[in-house]
Amino acid sequence: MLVLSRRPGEALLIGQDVRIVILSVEGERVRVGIEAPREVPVLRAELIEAVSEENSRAARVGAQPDLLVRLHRNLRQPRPDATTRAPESPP
Amino acid sequence: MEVSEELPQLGAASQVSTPNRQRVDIVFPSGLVGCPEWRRFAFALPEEAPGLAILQSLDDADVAFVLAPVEDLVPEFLTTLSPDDRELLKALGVGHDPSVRLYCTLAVQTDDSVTANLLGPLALDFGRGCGTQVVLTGSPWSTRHPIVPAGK
Repeated sequence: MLVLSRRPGEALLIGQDVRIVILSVEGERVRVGIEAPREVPVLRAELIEAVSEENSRAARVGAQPDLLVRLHRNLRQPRPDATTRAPESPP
Repeated sequence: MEVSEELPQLGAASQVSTPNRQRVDIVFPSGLVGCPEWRRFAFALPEEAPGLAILQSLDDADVAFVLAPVEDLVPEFLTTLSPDDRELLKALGVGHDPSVRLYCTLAVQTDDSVTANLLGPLALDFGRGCGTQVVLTGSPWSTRHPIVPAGK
């Protein structure tokens, strides 16, 4: 891994199109600005890791014979007031 | 994990634009997130569980997902998304192309509860036979949205 020290306001270039700017450093929190082409996805690594982990877990679900019946039974229960709402703030 | 006692009901939305054929082959050109080798799947609607779908890998017999339409679990899902996420899904046809539907994988957790991965939903294009797993950013959904509490 390449390790570089940068100060707020300084930048890094990755290839021709990706520019990363250190905006500020406050305690343990570093604010980073990223300029990249639209087709280059920029995602927090932990989101990718979480989805990847859940894919591995979910990939075995289809092989559980009684699960479909259980899911179907529960999801079909008539609950006129049933709603699942998003939490008020992001996790 | 705290599990909601309220259970979502699979609704009429399941009937909309679901493929009539029993099985549809779906290719994920980039694979699934973290699993790029999982590319070729068969999508099927199991008779024993209307409203749910099975996504069976054609490359690995041990890989099979149970899917639910996101709109059946969370009808207001699209309206809760960040503008960037909404734009991303719109570019894939979600919400305006009748042959594209958004599904999520279901998983059984160690406490036996069932959760839905709403952070990484699957946009399936039944017209083109392809799929994309999207990772949302800035939207308030997790990989383990509670669907069925433990013990039910």
